[in-house]
Amino acid sequence: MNWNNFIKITIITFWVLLMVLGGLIGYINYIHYERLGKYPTNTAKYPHDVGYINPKTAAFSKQFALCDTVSKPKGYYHSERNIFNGGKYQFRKTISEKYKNNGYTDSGFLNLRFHVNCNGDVGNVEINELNSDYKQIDLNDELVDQLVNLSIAKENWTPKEIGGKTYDSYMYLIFKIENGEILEILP
Amino acid sequence: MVKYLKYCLSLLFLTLILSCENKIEPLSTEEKIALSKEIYSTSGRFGQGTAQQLSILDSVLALDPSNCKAIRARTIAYLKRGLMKEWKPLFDQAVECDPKEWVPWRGYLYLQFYRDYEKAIADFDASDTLTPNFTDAPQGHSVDYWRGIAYLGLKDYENSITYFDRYINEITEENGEDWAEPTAFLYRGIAQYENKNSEAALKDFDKMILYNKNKTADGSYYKALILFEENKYEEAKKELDLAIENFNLGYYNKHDYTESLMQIYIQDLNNLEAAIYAQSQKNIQL
Repeated sequence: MNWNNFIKITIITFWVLLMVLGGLIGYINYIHYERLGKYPTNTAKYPHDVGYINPKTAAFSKQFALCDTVSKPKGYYHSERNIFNGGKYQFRKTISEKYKNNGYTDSGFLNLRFHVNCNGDVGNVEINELNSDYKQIDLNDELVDQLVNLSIAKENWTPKEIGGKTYDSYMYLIFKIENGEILEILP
Repeated sequence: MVKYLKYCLSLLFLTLILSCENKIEPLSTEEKIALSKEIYSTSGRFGQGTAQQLSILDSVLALDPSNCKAIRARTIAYLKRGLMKEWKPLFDQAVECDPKEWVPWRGYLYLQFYRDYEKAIADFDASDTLTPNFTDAPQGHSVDYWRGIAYLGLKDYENSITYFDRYINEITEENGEDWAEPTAFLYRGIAQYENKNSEAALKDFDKMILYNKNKTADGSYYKALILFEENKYEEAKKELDLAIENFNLGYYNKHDYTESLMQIYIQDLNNLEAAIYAQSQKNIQL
């Protein structure tokens, strides 16, 4: 046996295999780079997902805490299922019975975004006062206070429940207002 | 053998070098547009409104700023999560990019998510001008159907009935009445009922029931309501029982993200049940 030739062939075979493997890895990386890697997540522009509520700037956040500090609150943003205690019918009834139009002339939308924690407490409330073109305005403070306080009452909400365990939820409300009267409650 | 392997190695290096050179070349406009479309098709891998998805969409638009689908895709999470002031300027960009496609869609979204009837109707009307001789169908239904709902929301019952008539007649001529969206009969029936035409309303509620094969709490509820008002308590009770059964089985008019216009709740059915019972008892005492 020619040991020199054997060693040469072994080394060259090793190098060829290494190159093929390297090429393969490079190709996979290239595909990834072309499709996704070239477009990394812009965390400076998007530090959070859409819908994030900053507790530092939100109202009703001092005495409020989410039960789960790791996972995001469950996206729970519609009128179906059980987030309204007694259903949307009951929520609408509560608002229509308790809200008083004390001569307000405001029109537009009051848009609230908030969390309902696993105990059914409401907090981290972001309040947006908008005109009929969905632009920020200043609605009557008393009108806003009334609707915010009526909306966040604990008895209006039920925490999300899966398999007997309750979770934190994200929710929003939109009040469509004309001359101080509530025309619609969404979603 | 050694020489053969050397040739292989050289060929591999040559291929890699050529391959690398090929990728450094700047992309032409057509290639950018093609790549933009390709990357856009991958954006669905990420959750709506996540930082990853929004970043990918930014990259798609950096390659092709006129990728209207990507412009629109950025808006979806804002809409669904109730960020209306952020949603509007973003969606307006999609409308500017491709008015024919997104004006009727914006009308639908104004209607479904914000109950902004006037803005919705303005967009549906504009779509008639943008696409003459073509009836746009955002979210799968004709703009005439949506206009019928929008006018119902405005309590303009005459116009509501007119647009539902137009929608149902067009479908009936093309494919047959059973191809129409059954809720067109429900909503036209409600408009007829509110317009004090109970006879026409009953016909529509019967069609809602027919085309839903007796599985519609809404159709049966409104039918029971009319029967109750006509003092036909036994018939009303029978129809209402069917409505409650269907409601409990989940057969009622609802939407995934918002309340449906004039959505009924179990409390509505219970209230009517109590009213029928009270009136029946009163009649027995008389």
